Amino acid sequence: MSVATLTSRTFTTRAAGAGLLAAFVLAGPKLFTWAGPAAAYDFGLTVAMLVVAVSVLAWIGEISLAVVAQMGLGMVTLSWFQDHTSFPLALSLVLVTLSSIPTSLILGVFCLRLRGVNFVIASLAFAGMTQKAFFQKVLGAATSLHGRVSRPEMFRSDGALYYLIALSLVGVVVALYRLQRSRIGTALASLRDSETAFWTLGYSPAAYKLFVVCLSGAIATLAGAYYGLLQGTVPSFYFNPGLAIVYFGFAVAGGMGSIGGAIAGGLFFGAMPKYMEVLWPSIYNKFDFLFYGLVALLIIVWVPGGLAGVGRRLWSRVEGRA
Amino acid sequence: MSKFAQVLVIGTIAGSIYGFIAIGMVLVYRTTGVLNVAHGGIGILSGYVAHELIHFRHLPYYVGITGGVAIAALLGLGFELIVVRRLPGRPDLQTAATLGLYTLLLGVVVTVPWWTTNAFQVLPSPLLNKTFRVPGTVQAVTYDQLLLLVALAVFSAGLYWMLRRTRIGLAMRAVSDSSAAAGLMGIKPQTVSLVLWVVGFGLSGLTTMLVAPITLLDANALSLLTLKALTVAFLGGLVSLPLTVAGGMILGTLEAFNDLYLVHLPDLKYAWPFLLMVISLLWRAAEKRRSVRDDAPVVAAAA
Repeated sequence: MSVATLTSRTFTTRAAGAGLLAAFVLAGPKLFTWAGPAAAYDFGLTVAMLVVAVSVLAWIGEISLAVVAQMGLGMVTLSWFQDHTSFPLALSLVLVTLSSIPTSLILGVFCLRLRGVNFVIASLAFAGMTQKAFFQKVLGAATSLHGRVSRPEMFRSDGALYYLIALSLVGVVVALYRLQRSRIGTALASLRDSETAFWTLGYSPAAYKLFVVCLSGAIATLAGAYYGLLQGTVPSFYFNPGLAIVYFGFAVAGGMGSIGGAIAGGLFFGAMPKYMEVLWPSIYNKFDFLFYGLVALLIIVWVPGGLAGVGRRLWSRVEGRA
Repeated sequence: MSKFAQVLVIGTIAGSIYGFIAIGMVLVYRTTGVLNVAHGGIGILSGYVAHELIHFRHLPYYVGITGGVAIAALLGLGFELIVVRRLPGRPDLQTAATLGLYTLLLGVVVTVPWWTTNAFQVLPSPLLNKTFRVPGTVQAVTYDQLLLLVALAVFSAGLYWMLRRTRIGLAMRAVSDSSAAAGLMGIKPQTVSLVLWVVGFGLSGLTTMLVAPITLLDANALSLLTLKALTVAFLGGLVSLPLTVAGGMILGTLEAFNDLYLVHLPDLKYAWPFLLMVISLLWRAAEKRRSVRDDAPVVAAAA
């Protein structure tokens, strides 16, 4: 088999894969109308975006459990913009994303001083403080909700909102892939491998770390804005640190550091329970956590690379046989 | 003065809860490098098992709590054999696995409908509702709270002694430093690991048996306590048992101080774990600077 033929076949396989993926994205929730409403798929996409935010931090070898708090801040900020300004949604979303920077910098300072488990605990304490001292006041408890986010006319239906969220997610993914392949991406990979070597080569670990923490925070905040648009009102307990642990589980199950794996993990674990809620309501209410835990545990123990690892192996087989 | 004494009493009780939860996590982290996120989840399940045996099956109290702790220890055995051995030398993945286990155990708890229907259930204890008043204060303390405080003192001192003086404790530390070198010295790392996970999980079960009669047998409440205990473990650097206990007491006292003295700032109470971490970081940074400064004159004199 000549190299030229192999390249051509590989190209064809990749083009077919990209086409399938594009068709899947465009068809979106319509593929699953038999299983449940479009809102379930929208929710899956929002969770996928949040899991991407968790996974991005793995580029510098860190884990943050404050992403759920940042998600909540995104929702609260969008609600504030809608109440106090008449900005169009696109501008509000950009401003909401930028508003994540101060919070991210606070977390970033911790990220510079702490590593590994210590940073995880610091982010958890930050999330706990935000949920108890801020969200409980601003969003209210389950019985008296406030902090409402309303949808513009053209995104009234969940189907229309899907395309907005999907477009943003595609934008985020393309930007992240380009970043990974740029000089910054290469520098980040070397930072994760050896901070001392990175520093010796004249780079600033602090600047790169702060950049990644801000990037992760911006994605989480944007996910929160979309979550607000999807739900309208959200009780404060939704942004509790315990859920951040669950989302971290999704990121691990997807494959830490992998953007594709994060989306697969987030979409699967985010959307599927919502569909189960419709298809088998009595079972779902009882077994959701059991299911999450069991699947996450099985993936961690038997497939440590997560869904991304499985995907890579499958894809290399498909390419190899093409 | 009476009010301040009340702060100290309430703070000590709350601190003993945080401290007891945290020492179990510190034990596992110090000897394996794994942050056992499932610590709270294991305790929650064993608490409900004990409640089932005592309240629903009408078995004697001590049989119930022994059953609960035994379930936790068995879980530790299973976790070590099924998970830890499959992921050798990967504390990051083992930590992630404890997270999966935490979610799984919370899932197990809600599958038994009668366990979680009553939101205000307390794990029964022979000392329930028996109180005494601390001299010089208006604060009443239950015997369960006193038992927890005594248990914290006994267990933290016991674990401290075990890690320094007993064969198994020294073996745990040796395996933690270098599994290969420990193996060459005749220590069986797999046996040590098995003992450690069984003890760690068993301790988690025991924690709930002591804490649940004071708080409530509620998954959310116990999870929240575990999150605070993580902060306390951080204050002890995740390795020091005495500092962990002290951290628990400090956090408990600050929260009680907030409740009684800073009544106009109720939300500050929730910020204390985070603020304590900031203070701890600043203190550690100052310590580091001081140690660098202490070294400097020697260099200067030599020059």
